Amino acid sequence: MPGTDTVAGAARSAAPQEIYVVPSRCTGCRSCEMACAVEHSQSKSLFGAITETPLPRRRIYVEAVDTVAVPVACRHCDEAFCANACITGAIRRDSRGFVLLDDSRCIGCNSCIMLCPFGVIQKDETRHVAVKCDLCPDLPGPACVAACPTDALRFQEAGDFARSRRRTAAVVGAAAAGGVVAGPGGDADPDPAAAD
Amino acid sequence: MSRQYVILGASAAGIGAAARLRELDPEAVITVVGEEPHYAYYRPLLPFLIDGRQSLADIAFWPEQWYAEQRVRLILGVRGHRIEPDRKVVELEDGRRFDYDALLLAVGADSRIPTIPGIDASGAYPLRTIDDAERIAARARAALAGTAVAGRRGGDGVDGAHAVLLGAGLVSLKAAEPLMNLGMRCTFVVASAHPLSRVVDARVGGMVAERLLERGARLYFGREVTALLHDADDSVTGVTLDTGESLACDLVIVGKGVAPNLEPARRSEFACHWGVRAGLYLETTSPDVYAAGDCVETNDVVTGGQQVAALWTNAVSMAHIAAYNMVHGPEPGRMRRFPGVIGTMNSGVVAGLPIVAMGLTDPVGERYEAVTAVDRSAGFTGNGGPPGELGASAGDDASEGSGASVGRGVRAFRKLVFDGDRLVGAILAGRVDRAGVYRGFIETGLPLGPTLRAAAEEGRLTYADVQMRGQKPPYANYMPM
Repeated sequence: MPGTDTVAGAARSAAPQEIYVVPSRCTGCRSCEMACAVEHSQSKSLFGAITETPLPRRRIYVEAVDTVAVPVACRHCDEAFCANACITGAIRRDSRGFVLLDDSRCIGCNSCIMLCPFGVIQKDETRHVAVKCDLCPDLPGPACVAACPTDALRFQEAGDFARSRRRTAAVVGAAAAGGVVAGPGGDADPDPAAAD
Repeated sequence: MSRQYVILGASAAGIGAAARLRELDPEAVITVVGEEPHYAYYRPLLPFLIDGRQSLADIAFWPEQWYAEQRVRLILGVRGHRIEPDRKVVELEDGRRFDYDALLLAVGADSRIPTIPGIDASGAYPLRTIDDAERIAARARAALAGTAVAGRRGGDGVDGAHAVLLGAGLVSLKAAEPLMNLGMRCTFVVASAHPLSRVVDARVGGMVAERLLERGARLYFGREVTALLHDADDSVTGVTLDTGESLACDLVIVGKGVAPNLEPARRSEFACHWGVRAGLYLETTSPDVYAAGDCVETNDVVTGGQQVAALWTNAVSMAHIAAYNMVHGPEPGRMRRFPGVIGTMNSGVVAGLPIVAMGLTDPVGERYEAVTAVDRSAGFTGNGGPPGELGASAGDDASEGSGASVGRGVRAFRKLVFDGDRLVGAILAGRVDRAGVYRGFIETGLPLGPTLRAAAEEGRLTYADVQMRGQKPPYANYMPM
């Protein structure tokens, strides 16, 4: 669609890296949120960021489910509803397959917020534009992933992530007799780092 | 031999499909036929042409060279006339004929023009096309210069340039915004009891009305315009209401909605009802002809009925699926399904108030249960919207929550409509974060269960709840997991 694809074919067939979440490893420290906001600040330093007006915004959200913390990040969906819904061409897919928002074209209509099933596009109420994950173009990988102290966030290709999860599942299966407890939501994952 | 694809329509659906077809089939011959003599543009940005905030180049989909780069043959300024499925030929209104292997009908909708005396006078315009926007802009500037209507004086309480808007739906509200920015007085004549009556309930409609009044607009509810007054040059000078009262004005905006363009489909004897009938795969009743966008009547996932949901995002989503099926069809096993639409699904900043309205926002019937919540928290800073985007200027926080209909100090309003354990509709006003999470439940019809329902009613429903409660997540098919 106008608005999603700037390069035909290639981006879609490649397997871009994505942010994956292993919820059972998240301790709710919000280091990812902090690193995200700092990376999207003017100064790109924590000390500078907290003094900026407007305050920089995060693009990843550590949500609370009872007492459990769950990071929710943009999936850069293949059929990206946010881009389909964008009535100005501000949200488009780039040649790497990333779904990016050009806020100079954003009029703050909230259509993308209405469409995103993950709730990870929010409004910057100071500048009246939507804010979403850009996978940190100035860094080798997303700041949130680099900041996570417990390896709850991964930046991987889908196949690699699936393989690591399958290995983990096998480890869990073998250990089940030993009483390994599944994580929240049945998300069995005692120690994927070891399984990797 | 290269496949030949013809697309009738060159807006969201038509150009969206062309782009996707090129991805799927690098060799194909792609022809797009557009009615307007302009390159495709973001139609929802038309209001910005009126006050000059954006130019034609600003609102274009793609720069001109995109069409050459993508090898899309573009034929502009002509409508499709008839499709001959037996010969697999489409004829345009100018007589040109093109063969097709698969064809997409994406001819959109036209403004609905009520049949009232004087409606054809110059100075009375809908807002649907670039031409409409440019005529409105020219008329507004003439009105502000005092030259639109010779000899017009005040007398109905309006001294300066004055626009009357028929209806207070999305088109009228969007048109009024740049007119007010330019300094015109706006008067809405509305048949229903509140603005946006097809989208929101009376309470949120009241919040919108309050904000319009604060901006100096005048509102007549439960009234109809019965005639347009014009001078000897057939130029609008005012309107007459059903009460007999008349209002002098320089400009009339006809905001009475849109109607699907059914002409090519009817001439070709395709099944049509409210819109062109399209099946699960967006196929029409003619082989190898698909339909997408505002001309299509499709499944409403909330009501189970049929619906013409003329909406940008639906048009684009349909176009992607129709393009896929044009390439891979017609065997059903190789095609993708279009899941259907949510009949009402609107978002915008209306008179400074951010509003998202989805599904059944104000249904009648004992089976429905509405749960409302009002947020008066001081911590919530409100959201005035971008300066001028459908509403009050930036920094209108002082006016935040002044909707008398919900009481002063209201920062945000939320209404959820349940049918048993299913969420079937929602209005979020003032605060729209995570609206899509609610929309996911409306679209999929998944039962919430007591825990998620409590979270929803308290406004703290997040995707994490959906993920961690062992629910099948909405849109599982789209998730890279």
